[in-house]
Parts: sequence; structure tokens; C-alpha cells
Amino acid sequence: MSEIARKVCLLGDFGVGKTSLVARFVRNTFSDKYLTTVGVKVDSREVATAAGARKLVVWDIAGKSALDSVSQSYIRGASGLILVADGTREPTLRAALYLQMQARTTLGDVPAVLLVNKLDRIDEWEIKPATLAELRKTLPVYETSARSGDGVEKAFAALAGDLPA
Amino acid sequence: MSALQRLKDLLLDDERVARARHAARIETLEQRKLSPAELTALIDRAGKGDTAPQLALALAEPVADALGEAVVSRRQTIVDALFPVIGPAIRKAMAEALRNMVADLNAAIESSFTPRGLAWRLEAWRTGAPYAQVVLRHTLRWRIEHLFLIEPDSGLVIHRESAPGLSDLDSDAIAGMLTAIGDFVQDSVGRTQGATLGSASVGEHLLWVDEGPRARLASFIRGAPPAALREMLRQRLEQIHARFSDPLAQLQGGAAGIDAALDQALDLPGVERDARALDNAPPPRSARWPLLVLALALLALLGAWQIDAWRWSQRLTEVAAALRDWPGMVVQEISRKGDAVTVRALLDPLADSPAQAIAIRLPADARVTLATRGYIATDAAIVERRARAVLGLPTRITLGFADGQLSIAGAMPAAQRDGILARAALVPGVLRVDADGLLATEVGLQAEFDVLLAAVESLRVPFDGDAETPADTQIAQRMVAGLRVLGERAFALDRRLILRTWGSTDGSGAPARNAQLRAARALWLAEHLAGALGVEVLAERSIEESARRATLDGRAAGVRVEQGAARQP
Repeated sequence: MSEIARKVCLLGDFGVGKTSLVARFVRNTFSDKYLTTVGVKVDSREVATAAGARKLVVWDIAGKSALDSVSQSYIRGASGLILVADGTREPTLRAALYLQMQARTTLGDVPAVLLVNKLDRIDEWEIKPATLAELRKTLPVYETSARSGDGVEKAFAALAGDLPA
Repeated sequence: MSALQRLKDLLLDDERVARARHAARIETLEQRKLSPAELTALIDRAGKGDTAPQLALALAEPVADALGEAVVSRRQTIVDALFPVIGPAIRKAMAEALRNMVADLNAAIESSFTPRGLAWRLEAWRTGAPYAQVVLRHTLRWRIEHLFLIEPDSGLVIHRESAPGLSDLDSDAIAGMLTAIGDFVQDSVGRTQGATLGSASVGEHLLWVDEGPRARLASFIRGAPPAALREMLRQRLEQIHARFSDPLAQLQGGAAGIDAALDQALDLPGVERDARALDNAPPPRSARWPLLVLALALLALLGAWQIDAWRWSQRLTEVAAALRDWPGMVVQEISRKGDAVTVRALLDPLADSPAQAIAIRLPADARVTLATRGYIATDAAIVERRARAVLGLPTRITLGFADGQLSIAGAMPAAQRDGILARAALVPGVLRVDADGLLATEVGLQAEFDVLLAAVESLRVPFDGDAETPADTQIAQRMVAGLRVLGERAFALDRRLILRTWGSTDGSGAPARNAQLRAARALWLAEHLAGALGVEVLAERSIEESARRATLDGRAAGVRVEQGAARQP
């Protein structure tokens, strides 16, 4: 029997680095222009987990602080969420958490991870470590850098491992 | 110079000299301007070997700008430069297009007179599609390249089938994007509930998307598939739904046999084979009786039309026969459209109108149009009519016409006869004139008339005594006979006669009584002649000299004939 892929959606405010994270993680099949035309770009990658290889279909949804009707339709059927915030802009963390709340109305309580991006500019971060420590109590949080690749594989693998079999 | 400086000179003199040389060379190079020959050699060297891509990259931008500028400012130069390239390219494209068209025409011609071609023509007639389109539909090649069974919400691939020999593709990403674009299109333009992206085409590649409640079937096709393929794909999707209520969930749950079932349902060769079979299958047979009724109705209509056409043919034949010998008419065409009949003919102005003769041979509601043009007829009746009109001949002059010869018979004064003969040959249609039967009245007729006149006027009807009516009417009857002949001659002489009767008595008796008797006898004879001849006769009251006549001659009555003016024709 062929392995059924899992759909995961990337949510986050504009400019937090979602597309760069996906570019770092997946094999690009489609052009980024779909993000500005259709509002989404879909790629896939197989990830090794403790339970074995698992294929993720990553829906990179165009950056917004709230989901409109089209974006709501894009997240239907997703098995997990990747929330992305920009460490140098504290409001993007609130936007990511708000997007998770919105997505739950459609998806229910699906596994999610929070990626705080731009680790390579950690000296400019506005998000305090204490805040992240507090968030880690309810949500897996990973500091990532799309530029260097730090933490990216680990974050995606963690979500893949949390997805239901 | 210090010891240290000397030591430096000893140790670093070579480097210092080399550095000074390099600095001088750099300065020279920076200030130097390359000559065209040097620049050409430099570009030529750079265009070879490993530096070629760098040169192309470096030149791409300025060359593109220069070309754009040249198109604007020196358009004709660019056109002239491209002319040798564009011409062959256009010819090649046209040759390719013509070759394809000829191939299509050949295929169409080859198939036109075969049973298959006739079947395609019937299909084209039945469906209303152009014949060429039907031919193309049956002759063009197509194949399914990929089939994706997709979960509609998530866009995840439930099952995939691809034709062999194609490059690998990320089916999950493609299915996801297809789902996203479908959602995007639906949200953007498909306002109607349930409206979805159904198909898309790029060049010879075609994408069909068939929706189901739990699975969506995306088919990537190359070529021009028949409509039967779409029907077959929908059937397969329905089969999947009929067997699996939630294919993705059942697949994830490891339901037994689902993989094999999906393999079978979406087996590419099987789908293509079934679609081709469906495309070539004859249309479903329906009940025959409606067709039979239709055929009978058509036959009845055809029969009625035939009978009506036959009747009309008969009528038009009768009309043609009636008009064939119509004097002064030459029928050119008799045509019919519905109940409108048009007769085109040449018609002499003196000919009788054939309208009535046509009308009585056609139905009352027929609309007859007589389209005639004038001409000079040579029919005997028309030439006679024309001669009589042109020559001003009275009806007592008889005419005959045959073989171009006009025969004139009768009598008329010699001067009039000469004029008639001079003009008769000029009557259209007359070639010769036969006037042997046309006599000059002055020759014998007048003499005969005179003799007869004298004979009639010499007759005396005798009366007895003082009788007012004669005992014997034999003389009166002879007088009637003579006057009848005299009238005929007068007609021939074109004269009008006035009859006056008179009465006489002998010398015996009272004068008053004699006068009364003379009037009575004249009146009796006038009435007798008028009754016998049917003409008006004037009775005179008396003859003055009668008293001097002998007795027997004196008791009598007679007639006197006066010649009046010429009769009107």
C-alpha cells in the first residue's frame, strides 16, 4: 500500500519567512508567483520520523494576519499546522497565535509547532526568552533560521512525528 | 642611509622593483583606451573557452537594450536584417500547415465514400456537428497521461495512475495546487453553489476534473479525446463512490482490497479501451413504432405531394395545349410555384387575351401572372385582322391569308381599290397580295343596279275600282323580290337606298275620294314592302299626274327608289 501524505499548512504574518523556510525544507515544484496570484503554493517532502518515513504536503499560504474565506478553504483537511513568527517583530507572534485560533475553528485541535524565525538575527529579537518559555508549556517552539537552516529540519520532523498515524 | 634602510634594500629590493613595475602597469592599463582591433580580439578571446558564459551574461543586458533601441530608431534596418530569416520561417510554417491540411483533406476524402465515412456523415447530420469535426474526433489520437484521485478537502492524493515513459512528477504537490486553484477559481468566479473548475487546456494538453462528494478525479490527457472518455471517467468515479464511502479514510485505515480496487477502477489501458468502445458503440436502439409512424407520415406527405404535382402537371399541359395554337401568341415558358402560375409569352397586340382560356383550366385559387412581350405574329387570323385594321376594309370585303399571301375579295370603287392594293403589300406579315376577287364596282355592278332599279320602279300593283287594297299581290311580291336584289347590289356599291311608294287612281270619281284612294294605296304598298323587307318605307300621299293615265294603269301603286349617301362600313 502506498504511503498517504499528510497535509500541513504554514501560517504566519507577512514577511516572517514562511516561503524561505519552505524553500529550505522542500523540493520546489512550483514558482513562488502562485503565492501572489492564487495565495498559496504547495510542495511536498518526505520526512523521517521515529515511526518511519512520512510524506508531508506543505501548503504555504500567503502571509496574512487573519484568514479570509479563500485561505479558510486552503487549510481544509490539514493534519497539522506550522505557525511562523519573526523573532525581530513581536507582533508577528501574536498574529501566529491568532491564526492558530482561527484555523482551529476549521480543523479542530490538530498538532502544531511554532517556528520563531530569523535566529541569525537573534541580537535584534523583540520576543523575550521568557515569553517563549511560557509558550513551550502548550506548544512546541523552535528557533529557526531560514538563512542558515538552523532548526528547520528539526521543527518539520517534530511536527511530522506528532501527526496521527 | 641608515643601516636599517640598507638592510631593507638588500632584503626587499626585488619585491620593491616588482611592485613598482606592477603599479606602473596598472596605471597604464587604467589610462589606456583599447583600439577597435584590440577590443575585437579581446571579445573574440573571451567568447571562447570558460569565459564564454560570462561574456554572454555580460553582453545580454546591453545587447537587449541595443536591439530594443534599434527597433525603435532603425526599424527598417532590423526588418531588412531579419528578412532572410523571417521568409524561410514563414514558408516553413505555411508548408507545415498546408501539409497538415492536405492530410486532413485526404483523410476526409478517403473516408467520404466508405461505410465508415457515411456513418460519420450520418452522425454529423444527427448531432448537428460539422462533418470535419466528426472526422477529426474519430481520427485524432489521444491518451491519458495521469489520473489523480484526490480527496477534495485536503487535496491529498488518494490514488494515482500514470502512463509509462513519462517523467516523474510530484503528484502530491500537483494535486494540492490543483485543489488550491480549484478553490481559488470557485471562490473567485464560481459563485453558483456547486460550480467548480471542470476543465482546463494548454496546447494539446487537457485537464478534466470530475467532482464527487468524497473524491475528485483529475485526468491529464494529451490529444483530442472523445466525449465518451469523459463519460467513462465519470462512470469510474461513480464506481469508486459506490464501493467506498470515504476512500481516503479507508485507505489510511488499511481497508482490505481498496488498493486493488482503485488500481482496477483507474487502470489506464482499461479506461482508454472502454472509452474507445463506448465512442464507437452504436446509439441505443429505441422503439421503432415512432419511426414507423414518422416514415408513414412522410410517405403520405410524399404521396399527396406527388398527386398534387401530377394534377398540376396535367393542368399546365392543358394550358400549354390551349395556348399552343393561340393566334398571335408564342408561349416561352409556363412555370409554377405553389399555386402561382406564370406564363411567359410573346403576344401580338391584335391577339385576343388568353387570360380567360388559362383561368378556366386552373383551380379557382390559382394566381396567374401573364408576362408578355410584344411581337408581330404571322398567324392567318392575326394577319387578316391586321390587314383589315390597317387598310380600313369594311366587313363586306372578305379576306384570306395563307402562306404569306393575302387574298381580298369583294367590290369597291376603282379608286379605293387601287389604294387598298397599294397598301396591302405593306401590311406586316403579308408577302403577296391576291386581289383577283376584288372588283371595281363601276364596271358591271352599276349597270346591273340601274337595270334592276328601272325594272322595280316600272312595276305597278293593280287595284280594282276604288279598292284600297289589291285583289292580287303577285306584282307586289315581285316588287319585294326585285327590291331585295336591288338592296344587295346597293350594298355592294356601298349605297343607301330610300324607298318611297306612291298610289294613283283613274280619272273617274270624286277628286277627294281619289286623293284618299291614292294615299291609301301608297300606304298599303309601303306597309307591305316594310313588312316583307324589314326596312322603313316612306309612303307618298299621291301622284299628281295619275289622273291623266289610262284607266287600268291609273288604278295602281308603285315604288320609287332614291339613292342616298354612302353607307358606313
